Amino acid sequence: MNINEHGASIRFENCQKTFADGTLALHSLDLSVHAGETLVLLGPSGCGKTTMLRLIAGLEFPDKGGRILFKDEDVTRQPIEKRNVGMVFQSYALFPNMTVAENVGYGLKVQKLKADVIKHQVAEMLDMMELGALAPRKIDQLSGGQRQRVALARAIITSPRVLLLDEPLSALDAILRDRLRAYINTLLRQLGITTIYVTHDQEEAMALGDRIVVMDHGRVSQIGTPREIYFSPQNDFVADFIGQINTFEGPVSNRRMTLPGGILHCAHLGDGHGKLYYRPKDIEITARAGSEFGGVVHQTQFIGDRNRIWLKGVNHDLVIVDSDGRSDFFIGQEVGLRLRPEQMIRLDRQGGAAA
Amino acid sequence: MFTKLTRPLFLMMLPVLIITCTFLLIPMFRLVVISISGEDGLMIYWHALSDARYLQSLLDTLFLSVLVTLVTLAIAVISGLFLSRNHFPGKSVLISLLTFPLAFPGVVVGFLVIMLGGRQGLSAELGLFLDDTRWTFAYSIVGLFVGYIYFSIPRVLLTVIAAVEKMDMMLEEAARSLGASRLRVFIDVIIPALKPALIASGAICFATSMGAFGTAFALASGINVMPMTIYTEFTLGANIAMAASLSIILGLITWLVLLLARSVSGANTSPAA
Amino acid sequence: MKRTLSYYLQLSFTLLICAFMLVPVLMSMTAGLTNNYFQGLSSGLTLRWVEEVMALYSDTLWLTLKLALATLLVNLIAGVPAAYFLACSTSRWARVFEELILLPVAIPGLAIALALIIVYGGVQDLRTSWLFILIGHVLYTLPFMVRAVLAVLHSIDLKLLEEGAASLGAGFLRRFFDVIIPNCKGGIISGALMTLTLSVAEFNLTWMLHTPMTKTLPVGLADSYASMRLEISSAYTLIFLVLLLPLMIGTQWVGANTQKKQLSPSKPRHASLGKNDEH
Repeated sequence: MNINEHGASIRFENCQKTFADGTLALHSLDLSVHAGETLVLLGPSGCGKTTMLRLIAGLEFPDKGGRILFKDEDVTRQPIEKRNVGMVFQSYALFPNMTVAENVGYGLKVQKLKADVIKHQVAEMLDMMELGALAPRKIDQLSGGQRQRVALARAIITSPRVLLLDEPLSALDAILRDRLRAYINTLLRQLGITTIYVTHDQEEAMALGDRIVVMDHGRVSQIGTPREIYFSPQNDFVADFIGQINTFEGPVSNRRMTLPGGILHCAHLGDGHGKLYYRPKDIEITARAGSEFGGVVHQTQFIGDRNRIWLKGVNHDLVIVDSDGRSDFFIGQEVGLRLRPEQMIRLDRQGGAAA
Repeated sequence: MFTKLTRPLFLMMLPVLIITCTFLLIPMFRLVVISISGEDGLMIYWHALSDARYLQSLLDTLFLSVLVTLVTLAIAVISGLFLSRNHFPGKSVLISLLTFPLAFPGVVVGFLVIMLGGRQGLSAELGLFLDDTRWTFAYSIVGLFVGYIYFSIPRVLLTVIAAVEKMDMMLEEAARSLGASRLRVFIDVIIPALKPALIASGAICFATSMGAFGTAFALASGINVMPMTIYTEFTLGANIAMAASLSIILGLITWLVLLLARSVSGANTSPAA
Repeated sequence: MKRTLSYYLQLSFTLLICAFMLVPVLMSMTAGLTNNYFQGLSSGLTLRWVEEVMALYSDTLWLTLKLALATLLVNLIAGVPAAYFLACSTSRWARVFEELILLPVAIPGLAIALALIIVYGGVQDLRTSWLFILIGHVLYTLPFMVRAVLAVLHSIDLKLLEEGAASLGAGFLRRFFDVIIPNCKGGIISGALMTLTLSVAEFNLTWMLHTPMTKTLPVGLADSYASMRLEISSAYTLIFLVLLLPLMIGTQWVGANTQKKQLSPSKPRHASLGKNDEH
């Protein structure tokens, strides 16, 4: 394909969105997306990520005062059909009245290209997406994964300035999702097109995003690379949303936190009330004897590659630990815990619910 | 939230709005005006409802329509349940045959009733054979009744079959697992489940019967159903005000019954049913 | 399944009803093809009554067809966009409009015809033209057209399909003709069949609106029932049934097809774990 131009950069200026019923779906927002970047909007349902995507698409318009720019062009009031965006919808929005080839070629037909040009480009695109054999089929004869790729092909064939993906994998089962995620990843790197990807799945977000925008209740919680988001969450919400996390909370004196399970060392905390964060796989289980910190096994689950263990008597909440799948624990077993300071998750700013 | 796509929505409605305003709203409004612009004014409605001839016609029509509705519903429930619950060869043909007369106009139905119960009809032949007298019923209220049943069955039957097919068989099985007899299941489970469909199709059946003109016209019977009375007032009596006021009374009754049915059943009493 | 007594009782009842629906039709058809109905079939079969009807009434046949097609045309041009409007609009006016369109179903045809005559009966050119009947037929059939299309529009994700087309650059007209119309084809077809059937068989309104120069088939039928011998009335009825038959078969065929489609949902939300999924 001749998709070598790098899409447009996108700028949000003071964009806020209030719906007709008065709900504030998106708080005032300034944000830049670089040309060619894949930006993932991540958050639970109702956090405003889809609204943001629809603002970029031109399916919603920001409240007065907000501006959206593609490169240097103000597109704020442009309807979607004028914006030259490619969009993949959650349930694909493939046209049931058209074949696979007709679906993929529709954008070109709208651009009034010649029939033989369309035919050629569609064939090329279908080959690239490994859909060649399906060209004459109707949409209802396709599997979910095939529909997914048809939707992608249809969206990118017109070389859009921006590619928008709205939870494109959520309608698929787990195995297919993993496979297509890898496929999309390769495709996006290859195309180098500016991409906005909406998802509620943090694994998907980290696998695909150059940067991730974590959203909560219509606000941006944090923007950063997957690593920044994972290892240095800026607040409780992000720390909690990106993978499981254990929060140890208690009184600190002399750089030691006193908890039901014993004493935790915390060199960086001053006296008073403190919080420490550890991911389940960063906590090591040791023998109870000789440990100054530990608890009792409350529940275990064997998940194949790991054992997930819930411990009580350590913290106010149950503590979750992931250990090697080959290890074996029984309920009621007393265990010790080793927490290494270098594996602690530090919140860059104590924001959000931490007070 | 509905999409903010650009589209000239109102323009799409415009042709129908123009048609409806010019040919329905304005005429209906004029009909009301005409009905009270006679020398009686509003009193004409009192006359329409107190004059023995008009009142008798209205009561006859109401009685006939209610009876037709009830009998049709009973027939449709029995045959509808049977047809949607049993599988046998020729079933789809049977359903097709039963619903084929759906499109017959009233005037043809009237003719078919004459075929059955007219002076040279089937029952007359049968009467001659058995009793040496021609049995005729086509020109009495029985003929009207038979005709109305004839054009009501296909409509109501289709609705009942569709409703039975949508019914949750599990409810019935649950009731039977609790020891309910067939009759109990029918009364406690099947009829309540079919109620919305029965009310909706019953209301349409009633409204159609109230307004039916062709059958009565073809049978030319002594029974003056409302539409016939209106027609006679208009053509023979040239009493336009009375024809208008009777039409409005008739229209109000059918419209109210349909409205009531819709609010009671919550089901769709619209034409596609 | 064990066939109980009640099964056979219900079967007999249903067959009886079927006979009630069918016998008079068959009798009328025979009468139309018999030399002398009072002597019975022994008098021989003939097409002479049919020919006589064609000589007497063929203009009613053509007018009926013309009316039905014209009604269909108006319904397509006005009704389909209106259904689209009703499916899209969330405004309170949309509900009012919907009620308004459906009104002619609730009001007896006689009342509507009377109202039309009162307002437009004085316009001689219109009163004596077939267009006057067309108005009545459009009012009466439009609700069925709108409903049929609306039902399909409600069953598909109209908004999603339109957004999909818009994201590919399609403006309103393109979306309407490329995506909306093809995807409510089923509703349009069943609405069209209903329009044709209802128009061909309309009597209540037409009887009031017609003039001696503008007689439709059902009006001609009423005429023949009142004044012609039984064989001619029957032959005429036979012609009418033959005209109606393809429409009825079409309707049943379309109905069966949509039912089949509903039974095999075309939208599996989750792809199966099938191996043939990705090659």
